[in-house]
Amino acid sequence: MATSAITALATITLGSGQSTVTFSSISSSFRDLRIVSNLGMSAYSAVWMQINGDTTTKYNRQAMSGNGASAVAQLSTAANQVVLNSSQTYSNAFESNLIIDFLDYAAGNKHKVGLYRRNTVSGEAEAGTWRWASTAAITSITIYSSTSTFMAGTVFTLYGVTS
Amino acid sequence: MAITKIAQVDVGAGGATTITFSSIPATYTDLQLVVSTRLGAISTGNFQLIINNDTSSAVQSHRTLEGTGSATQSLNGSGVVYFAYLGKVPGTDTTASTFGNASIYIPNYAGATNKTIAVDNVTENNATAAWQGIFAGLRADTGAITALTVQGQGNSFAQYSSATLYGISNTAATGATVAST
Repeated sequence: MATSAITALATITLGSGQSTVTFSSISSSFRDLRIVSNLGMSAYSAVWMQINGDTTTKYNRQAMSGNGASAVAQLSTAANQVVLNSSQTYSNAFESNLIIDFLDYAAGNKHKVGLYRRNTVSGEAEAGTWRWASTAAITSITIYSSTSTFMAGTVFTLYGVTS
Repeated sequence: MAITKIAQVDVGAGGATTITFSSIPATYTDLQLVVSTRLGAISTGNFQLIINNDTSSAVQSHRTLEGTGSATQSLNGSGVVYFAYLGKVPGTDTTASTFGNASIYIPNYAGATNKTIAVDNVTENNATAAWQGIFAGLRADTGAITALTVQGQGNSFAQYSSATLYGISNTAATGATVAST
């Protein structure tokens, strides 16, 4: 039997509204990581990400999105977090999903980069890239909203991908 | 094992009007449907998805971001009875023997919340007109997904079209700790 290339590392299933979820003590045994969520928000809100508890201005991101009327491109540099949405925020319901990829996350010799797909049907279909300007291995990931909460029933799962 | 192949369909010589996966077990966390398709007898058409064989409940909505090879566009639709547009399927007006690809990811497909889908879809063509896009979809229904049908608008899939359904499971997860506040 072939070895599975994808392994579930941890799951967060919210039983009540929470504004922050964190995966920590992440095993360094894989090549890449993926986070998948069916996230629902209690109110319209942006969703952000920080790595290893780093709150400094090391985050860069660019994205393309469709808002139902036009295509939009955005760029942010030297920010305190990765913003996982463009001009349209996550809506106040279960109508979004989020997939974030972390490539070569445990390497100690390169900045960390990744991709994300975010879908909010009343907001945007969006694809983006991000970079955390640090050569440290990723050991924790925090996803949060500063103005709203993730609804009960929201599930975040962290997967490890073996090369 | 986190990812498991549930089923695979390969279209034979007679073509296929639709490709359907039914009796999908609720034992996984997410679904991923990966397809390689071409229309057999007409020009490029819309790629369509029907959930749970339901073509009467007007609970589907979508939003798109697409490139056509010469322009960009973003479309939206709401209150429709199935996903009538999630990209394109190449047809007889495209380079021969060239199939389009799509990946449909559905998180928490058996959970008790609305069902959202993420679709990435590309066609290929040795000419200017080659569509690619990302699609956000919503089925505003809390029932589990038990069947998925893909079809090409107005015509059958050609021989050698294929579709594979995977189940992704988050059970027995180990390798990180979690917290929420």
